[in-house]
Amino acid sequence: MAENGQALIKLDGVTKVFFTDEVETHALSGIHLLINKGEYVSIAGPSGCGKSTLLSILGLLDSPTEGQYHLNNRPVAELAASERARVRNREIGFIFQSFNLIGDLTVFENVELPLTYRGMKAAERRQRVEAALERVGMAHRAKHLPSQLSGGQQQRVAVARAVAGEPLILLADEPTGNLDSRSGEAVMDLLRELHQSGATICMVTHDPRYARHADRSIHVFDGRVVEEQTEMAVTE
Amino acid sequence: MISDFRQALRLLVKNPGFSALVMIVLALGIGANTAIFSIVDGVLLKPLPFADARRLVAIDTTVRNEPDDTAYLDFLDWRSQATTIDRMAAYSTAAVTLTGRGEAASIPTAVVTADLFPLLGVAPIQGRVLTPADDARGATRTAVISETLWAQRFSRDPSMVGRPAVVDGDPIVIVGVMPARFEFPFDAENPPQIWMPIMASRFSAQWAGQRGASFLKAIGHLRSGAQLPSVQAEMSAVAARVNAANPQEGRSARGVLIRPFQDMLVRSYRLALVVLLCAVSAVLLIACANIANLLLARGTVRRREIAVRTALGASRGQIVRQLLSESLVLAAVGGVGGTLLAWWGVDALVRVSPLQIPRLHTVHIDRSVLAFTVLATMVTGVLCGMVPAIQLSRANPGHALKDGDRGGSGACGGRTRQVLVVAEVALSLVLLVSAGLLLRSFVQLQRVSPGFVTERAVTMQILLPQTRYPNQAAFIRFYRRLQAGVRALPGVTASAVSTTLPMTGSDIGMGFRVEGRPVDPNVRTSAAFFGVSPDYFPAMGIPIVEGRGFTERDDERAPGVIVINETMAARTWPGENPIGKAVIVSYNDTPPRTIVGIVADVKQGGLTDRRQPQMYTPFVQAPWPFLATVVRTTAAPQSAAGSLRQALARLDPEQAAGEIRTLDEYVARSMATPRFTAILIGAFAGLALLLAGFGLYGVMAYSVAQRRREIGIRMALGAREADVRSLVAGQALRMGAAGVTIGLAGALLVTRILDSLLFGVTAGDPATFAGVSAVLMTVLIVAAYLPARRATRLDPIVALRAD
Repeated sequence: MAENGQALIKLDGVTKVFFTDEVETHALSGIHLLINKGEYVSIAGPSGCGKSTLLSILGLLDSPTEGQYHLNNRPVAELAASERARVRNREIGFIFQSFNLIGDLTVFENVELPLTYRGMKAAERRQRVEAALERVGMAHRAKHLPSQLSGGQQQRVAVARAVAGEPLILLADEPTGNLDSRSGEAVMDLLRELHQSGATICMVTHDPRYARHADRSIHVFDGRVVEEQTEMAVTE
Repeated sequence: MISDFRQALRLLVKNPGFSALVMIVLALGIGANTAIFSIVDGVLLKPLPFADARRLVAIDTTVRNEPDDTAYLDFLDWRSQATTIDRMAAYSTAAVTLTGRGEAASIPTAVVTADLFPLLGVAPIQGRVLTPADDARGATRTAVISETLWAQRFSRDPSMVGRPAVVDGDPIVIVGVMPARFEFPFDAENPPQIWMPIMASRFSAQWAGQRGASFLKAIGHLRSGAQLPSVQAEMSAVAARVNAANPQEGRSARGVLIRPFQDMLVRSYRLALVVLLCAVSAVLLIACANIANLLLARGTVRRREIAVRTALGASRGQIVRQLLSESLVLAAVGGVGGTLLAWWGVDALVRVSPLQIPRLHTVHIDRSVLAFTVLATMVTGVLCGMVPAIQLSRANPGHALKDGDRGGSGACGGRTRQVLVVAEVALSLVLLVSAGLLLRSFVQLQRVSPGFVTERAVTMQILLPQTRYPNQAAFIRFYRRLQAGVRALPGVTASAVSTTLPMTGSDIGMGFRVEGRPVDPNVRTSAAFFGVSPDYFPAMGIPIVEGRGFTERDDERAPGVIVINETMAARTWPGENPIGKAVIVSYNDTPPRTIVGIVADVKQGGLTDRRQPQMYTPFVQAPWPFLATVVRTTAAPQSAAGSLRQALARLDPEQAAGEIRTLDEYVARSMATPRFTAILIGAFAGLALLLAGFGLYGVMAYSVAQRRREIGIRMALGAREADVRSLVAGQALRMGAAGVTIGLAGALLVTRILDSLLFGVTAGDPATFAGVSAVLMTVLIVAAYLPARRATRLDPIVALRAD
């Protein structure tokens, strides 16, 4: 994981406009954002405010209409598709609200998948997958299919998949949105543990209880960052 | 890569219905392609089974630029003067009577020059091949026999080699046995079993001395480095020198034509086979489009999975590879199934194919066919999977992940699916029009009268050996006894004899000139020639148009008479009545013959033949050692054949019967290739029609499922059933109409190549184009109606709530 204190993500005036036949929709307008290595940042805001679009841009699933995006001091806003895939694979780990495990693959294979795309040798893949599953407490379920797991267990597998590749940053989109409160707390504990061991995390959530887990909370409204709070302010 | 295939396999197992459907369609498509390709490969592509087969050429005499037979003396001149052809051989086919071992049998035979065996480079399995010494006049008569004949008649007795057998009454020493695989010349129906030197056959030895007797085909081997154009130029010059040295009548119209031997052999079947291969490939393409559509529809459901993979860092190439792995696995299983189907299908196909196609019986699934199948399978896999793979890999993963489980807007590949359906419809129309034209052509062909009545007529061909029938008087004696014997058979209502019968493949062409007219030395007038019994015209049902037919009084002592056909009358005496006029036929310098009658035209070679001049003389006034008897009988053909054999055996136990067939069989044989092509293309077109219908149905059914919410909203807002129906059906019919329009334009271009396969119908036949378009549109309307009806039955509340 990355060292603390250095800028890992830097957005400068990022704008995202969706064009349809007759309408331009401004999803993001002039976003400036800095996330340092080792930080735990939450992004909050009402439905349709643009937080998921922001996360998509951060995760290189989408590209900004305008503005600059530096990931680990490297401009990534205009990378070619193949290079974006490479960066996603090596430097970003995703955790989705609806887990997004592939139903036809076993737990082991799901966690292994990003490493397969990386072209890693089988022995090293096995070692990493086992370590990741061990870390989230799901090693005993390696041969199960996602449908045989509870929601909380599926999300833990998703976390294992995200961390197995040792990315620079974990992007979590409402990671507790589809879980009951007990499972949600367990996942949040897991993220906190990861953060404490050095992981940089950026999490979208609309639940203030979970936002409090982060060092810093960013509020997005109508495609703009309207407020930033540090951990101290949040807890007060 | 291995994990891609492993996942693909798992996915197939997980969706057994979908996988089975796709694999069955692919197995049928790939199997049909493999089976047709195996015939194309075996007949058109595989080199002939001779040494250096690519350098073998057919050398034909041409008369007014049409290939014809060659005289032995011309062949000898060519051989001695040609420098670009290092070996040259000549051959002809006949039938001989083999006696002395069991029942007398008519054996298909080739008379050949001794160069043939070294030229073809095939070694005997016993003894030796023929040598130039065997081919000298006065040499001991020798022959080489086939392994089949050696086994059937001589029980594989090695001591037979070097001993004589009785052929046409002459002792002929068997000097060698050729392996069973040796076949030359190619004749699937009657493959030669004996190869004799030209001088060993009394007939050919006699004709070999006459420059006017054209009865041979020639084959040559190109000298190393010689190219076809230079060989053609040299041989044309050689032929011109030979003509100049022999200034007989009509020779100035003769030339020589050099063609690759294999091309010459398959020229009549090439187009039909290539058209079949194109048709079956088109069916596979349509199947691929259908499967691509199915994969696209399934892909929409998998958008989320693909988006997850993309989010995890899979590059577009990796996504495409994963999706292609799935279609390749489907195609591979289909390919295995297709190969098994083809294994069975090739045999079935060969059984229903026209027998005349050369080397057809050697067709089988071998390494080159399997290589084709592997290639076809891979191409099929890529074709099926590429469009869905590209389409899905192009989708924005951010949107797909945001859409959740709803599967998005359904727009993924929507346009592509429509384009695929339009392409399917267009391709189907091209196939249907082609099939329609060939079927109409076949129907027209069936309506063509051969010029004689075929019902309940059995024929038997006979070749009289010169040893026992040495002269014309002997031919006439045999003919009269045969007539009497056959007439006496039970059930025979009419019988007749002719030197050759129409549609049997035998033909005698004879030159003639009109008495009293000056002769143009550059123009050789000729006509098909028949020596017939007096009852030939009534027995065959050939109408006498003017004058009279022959009677028993037109015998060998009576003045020469002749009956001509309408075409000869119209061409030679336009605007005149030829009855009473005389022609001099180039037959043994006989005196002029008076025309006593005109009969209707008869198709000589096949039903598609153009009109050609024909002339008939009484058999006894122009007797030949080969003749055919035709009987109309109330008995079944099988028993009639037995009766004919017995009658012949009573007449001459040493005389073998040649081919015994009904006239219906001969006529059917002349339609075998058009029937085969029309039936197969018809079947392929039917399959294409079905696939196009299912394709449109699938897309529309999917579209209705995707538009449930929209349709629900429309219905909630007051749309009537008819509005919804026209919304859905309109979309389908727009696709159908676009496909039909493109297909019509394509068919206009493509069907031109069918021109030479058509009879009585033009390649642009408006009725066929209109009829086929109507059939296709009807199928498309049915395919569109079912989803449209389903759309009208949607409950708007359920539809809206479900979303």
